[in-house]
Amino acid sequence: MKKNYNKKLSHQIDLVDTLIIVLFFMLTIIYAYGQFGEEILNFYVILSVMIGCIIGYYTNITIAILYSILFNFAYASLHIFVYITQAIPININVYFWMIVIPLFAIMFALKGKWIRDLQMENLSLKKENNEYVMVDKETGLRNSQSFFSELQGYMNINKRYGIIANLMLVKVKYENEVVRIIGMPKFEKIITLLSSEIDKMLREEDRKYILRDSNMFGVVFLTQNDDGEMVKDRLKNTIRQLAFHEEEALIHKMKLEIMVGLASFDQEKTSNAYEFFQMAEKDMEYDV
Amino acid sequence: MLNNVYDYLLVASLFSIWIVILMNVVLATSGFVSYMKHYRNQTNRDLDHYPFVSVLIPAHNEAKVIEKTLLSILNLDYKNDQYEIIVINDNSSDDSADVLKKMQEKYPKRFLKIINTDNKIGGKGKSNALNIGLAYSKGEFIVIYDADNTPEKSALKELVYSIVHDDHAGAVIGKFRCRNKNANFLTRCINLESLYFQWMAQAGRWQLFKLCTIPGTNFIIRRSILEKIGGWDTKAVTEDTEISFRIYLLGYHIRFCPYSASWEQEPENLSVWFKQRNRWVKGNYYVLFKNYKYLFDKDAGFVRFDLIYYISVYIFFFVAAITSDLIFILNFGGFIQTTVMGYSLLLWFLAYVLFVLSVQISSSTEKGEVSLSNSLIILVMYFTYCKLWAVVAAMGFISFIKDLIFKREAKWYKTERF
Repeated sequence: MKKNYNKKLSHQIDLVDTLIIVLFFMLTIIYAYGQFGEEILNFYVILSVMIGCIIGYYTNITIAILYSILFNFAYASLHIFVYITQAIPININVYFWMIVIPLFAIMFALKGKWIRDLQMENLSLKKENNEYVMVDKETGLRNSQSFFSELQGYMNINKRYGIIANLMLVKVKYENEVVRIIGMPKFEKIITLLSSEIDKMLREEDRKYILRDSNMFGVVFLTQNDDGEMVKDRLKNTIRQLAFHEEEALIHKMKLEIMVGLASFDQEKTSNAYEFFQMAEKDMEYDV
Repeated sequence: MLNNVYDYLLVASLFSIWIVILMNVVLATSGFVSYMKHYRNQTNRDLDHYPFVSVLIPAHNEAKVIEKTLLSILNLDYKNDQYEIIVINDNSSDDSADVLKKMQEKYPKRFLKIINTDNKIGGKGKSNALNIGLAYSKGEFIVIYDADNTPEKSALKELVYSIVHDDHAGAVIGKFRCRNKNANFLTRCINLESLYFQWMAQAGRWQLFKLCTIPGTNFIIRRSILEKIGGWDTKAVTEDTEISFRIYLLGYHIRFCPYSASWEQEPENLSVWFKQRNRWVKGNYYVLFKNYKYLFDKDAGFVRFDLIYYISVYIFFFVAAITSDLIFILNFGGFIQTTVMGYSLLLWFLAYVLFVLSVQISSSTEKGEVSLSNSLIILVMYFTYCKLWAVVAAMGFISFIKDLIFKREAKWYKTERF
């Protein structure tokens, strides 16, 4: 259904574009062979046609029609009242313009409307898509869309079975400076590399996320004892020993460092996923 | 230049037609401004308190449609204990009374009153039926719905919201839309005509002068005003236009509220359409005849604009159109000579183009009304549907004059349902 609709809309745009080309061709021919150029008023009228097109395209069909009504009324009245006193017969081009003005303004208004409809549809589809996509395209890690809902799930496991749910947040230290030195494309590569390292180092059942909004990695894992700190140290060591490829030699010299924050879920201190996240974020401040 | 009496006559009629076109251009523009104001600055329209409202439904032989109408009014989005529904079953000969009784039994907890009248106290038209209903009602505000209406759920709330937030509003009118618009060519034309009438004549006049004409359905009016003016005028066959004039003359305005909409059934064949429109035209002549004195009254304010508008449409435009057509035919046949014929052709063309654009502009303001089929209908409407209007205006005028001469009482023709 949706697909059909899109097709219909693009066909409509094709049709209106074709019609506009045909009309412009006709306008040019009639203007040249009808010797419209001999009358100075026709220059102003053709200017008004173009203004009508612009108004129609950037506003809507209602304003385009209103413009045509006002123009036609003023234009025809002028001819009737000025020429009646001078007894000059009314030329056929007066009728011609009275049809051309609304025709062009409406055509452009329709074109503008349909293009806007497509843009709106595109925007809403993108938004919808973002909401559905749970996995980050670049790194293959789960994204922030799934983070909070799944974090809540881990908190519930803790409540029911008593297993400790840990949240570890990982961030590149001096991130802004690093980006400034090496540029965004290279930094993106480093993030991809980091994420694959984190993925490799941790167990299959640990959940790894990339939180692009806050430039962090999030790891949720379950432990029996209080050994979250052990995982944290292991991760830091691994990253420190990480060998970068040649193209990231600059980083190698700079020694990439990471900040890690760790929090274990405690149902007495935390009631929701966001508070749990804030706890881990706060802990990051102590990783100096 | 002007050479003979026909030239002068033609110029005079051209000028009258031009004035009417000008008025319509002004109304189209202000209608558009009103539309922009209503839909660009839409605020939250929640009611703080729900005043008690009486909904009156005059019905004469409406068994076919009354059940659905009542159901939609019972389901309105308004506190159930804050509105009563009074159906005035006015001298019906069909089984309306049974249908209504069953409805009353089905909804015992709702404030639903049925007044059945016979040919002694009832059967004297809509105004009389409304006066009977008014006597039984308790509401601070009175709302009227025709018996074939399906108001949208929020229709009543929107009307109440508008009137309680505007102390100078004597009445507030909503929109009416055509429910059976896809039935045939005639109903499609009526649908476009009603859109045009509401966005140009109603919204346009509201924007310019705070003037509207009560459309006979989907409107709210203050009880205090009805008591002050002694209810509806039973002699008027278009009681709505008549009461509008009396509200203006009390110094109140009539507000236009496009957020409130009610869907109604329109005539599906020409004979029903002719009878209904004939009643409207006659009714409007009656209102003009009754109120023309205010045209010269300085205190009448903007009422004078409305009078000029009606006079221009029903008298000047009509006479001018006939005169110019006659001169055109006589000139064409070689009986008379005019030198300004070419200008009347341009004026006619202007009227046609502006008519097409104005109907198009009003249909573009409603969702789903911009379509190729509607555009094609608008193009032929001028030569078909509008010509019927000219016939109705002429017939209505003759009939009104006859009533006046022979002192006949105007009869209320009830629109047949489908």
